[in-house]
Amino acid sequence: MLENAPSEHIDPRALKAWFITGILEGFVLLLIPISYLVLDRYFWDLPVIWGRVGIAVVAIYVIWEALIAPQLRMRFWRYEIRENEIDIQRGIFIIRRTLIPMGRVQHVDTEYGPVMRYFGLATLRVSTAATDHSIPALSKEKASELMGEIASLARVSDEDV
Amino acid sequence: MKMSDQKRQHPVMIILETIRLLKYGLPPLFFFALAMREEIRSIDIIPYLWGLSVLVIAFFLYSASQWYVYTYRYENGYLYIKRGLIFKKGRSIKRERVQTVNIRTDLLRRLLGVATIQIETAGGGVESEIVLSAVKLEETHRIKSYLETSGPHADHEKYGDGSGTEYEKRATYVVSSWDLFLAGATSGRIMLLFSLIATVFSQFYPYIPENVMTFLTEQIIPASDADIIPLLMVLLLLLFLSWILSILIFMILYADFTVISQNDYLQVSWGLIEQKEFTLKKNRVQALSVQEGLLRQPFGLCALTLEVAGGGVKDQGYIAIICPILRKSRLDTFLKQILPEYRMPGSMVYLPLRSRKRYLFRSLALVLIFVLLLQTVPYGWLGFLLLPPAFLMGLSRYRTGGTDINDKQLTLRFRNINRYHVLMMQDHVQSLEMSSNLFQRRSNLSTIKASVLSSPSGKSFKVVDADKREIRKIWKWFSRS
Repeated sequence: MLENAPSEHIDPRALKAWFITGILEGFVLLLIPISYLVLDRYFWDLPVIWGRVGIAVVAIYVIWEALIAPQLRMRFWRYEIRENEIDIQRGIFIIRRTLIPMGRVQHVDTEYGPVMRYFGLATLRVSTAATDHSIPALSKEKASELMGEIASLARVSDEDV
Repeated sequence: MKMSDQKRQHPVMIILETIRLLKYGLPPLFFFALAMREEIRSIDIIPYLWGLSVLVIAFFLYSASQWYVYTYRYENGYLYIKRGLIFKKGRSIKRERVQTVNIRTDLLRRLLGVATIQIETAGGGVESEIVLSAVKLEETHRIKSYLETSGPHADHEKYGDGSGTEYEKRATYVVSSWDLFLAGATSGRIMLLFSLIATVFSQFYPYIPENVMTFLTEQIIPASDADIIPLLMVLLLLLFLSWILSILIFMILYADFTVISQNDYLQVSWGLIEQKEFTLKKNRVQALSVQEGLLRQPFGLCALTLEVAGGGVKDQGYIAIICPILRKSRLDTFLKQILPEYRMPGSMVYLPLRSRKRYLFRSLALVLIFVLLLQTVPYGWLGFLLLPPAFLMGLSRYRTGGTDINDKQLTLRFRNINRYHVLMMQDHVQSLEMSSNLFQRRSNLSTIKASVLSSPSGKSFKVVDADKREIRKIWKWFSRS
């Protein structure tokens, strides 16, 4: 959205990780309309149409979450860690760009779930005293490297103040 | 008594503490007694009285022991506390670590000539504050001034600044009663009180004999057969009553509101029945907002609040108010005296004309849906009356929106219902975010959001649909590289 968007992209393996997460999420969500249909079949006489609508909604959601959204997220999500600040851009419909001065960084965390770990990915979380920001799906090495980098840069800027 | 001796609180603490314990202990007991009442006759009340007096004595003894074991002393830049009857606890607090010292009194304490002093350190948990619940008033001020004089080290730094001539800088602002009256009259609490009074009234309404009621209404409007008029009269009367009441409440609550700026500290005190006072180091101030209420704006009145870092959570409600009412014409002088680092911008960058339709759309769309839904009920067309105010609100929001950068200060101006100017220093902004959705991108508009620290967590302020070029200026201003 600005001509000088942040330079770094997130790891392309994120596409696979998000695809699998989306599919898994879909299976879990599918339990709701299916149990509705089961109840309808064996216990009460409920209108079947709502079960089918439910399945359709879940299907659309999964297509979005597993296929479309990751592509778009991939395209817009950028970050750049400079000496004095962290610059993050994210979003699909609403593109948000955040600037965090190094001196304001309170702490940095990395975190990953089972799917992310399988692909060797991690999310980097940067917290200031007032806000929380994250860069999703970096390679694990990259994440811990950045974590160290931010921590040391943040310390340097603290000394400046 | 030497300064270094262990001191105790004023002995009336025993009584105050006993009363406090009774206040918490009695209601359950009362309900217990109430539950038993079916079985006992009224003569059997005597054992209860015995029980009560035993309880009072027990509470009294407990309070006395608390008073006896709780000692404090202050020396060498530390405040030492010792307490505990069986498990002894001690604590020392370094003067530099003290964030705020609050002095409070209520009616009873004032009659007894004591006050509560509350000492807060950084952290914000329960453990981070110390309360001496009954200390002689002079003693509280002694403790306060002791904890607030920085050590010799800090004095040295101050001379190093080269501003030695301004060493003792003191400014005071007192809110006048007339201003408080105006503030109460425009506070907007009237509706709240009105609903309260109306509820109470409706509870008592059936007990008013009907002939009295008709007599009254006939006195007011003789020979009228319309039913709606007396009802309207009652409503108007109630409105007026709640208006007067809200003025009175405001005037009592904020009576003698005084702000003192001294060196690095702000000291604020107010209240008639319950007096409150807090002291705040100026470097904890993260942002200043100037709030002009919908009713206050036409009279040129505003209220000032602060976003403050650190401190106890429960104090946030009042620690934020730096001035409950101020004439806008005096704002510049007030800021120069009390918070010289902040300055009200002279003129601001307004929003571009192309964002007007977006503001109007946002204001009207929801109301329009609501109104269309209303068409299904009788008199639903009355809902259309909501549209003009919504339109005006959207227009006013558009006209209010604005940004300004002045040296190190960012100012955002916006309106939800009230109009706000939020003044922030560059090094207090924790992060800056600009965002734009599909439609905003098409017309080169962005939303800017600045977050500051404000306990217990952060707070952010935003201006929607500003010109992208202006946003880019703010971005450059904030960027360190």
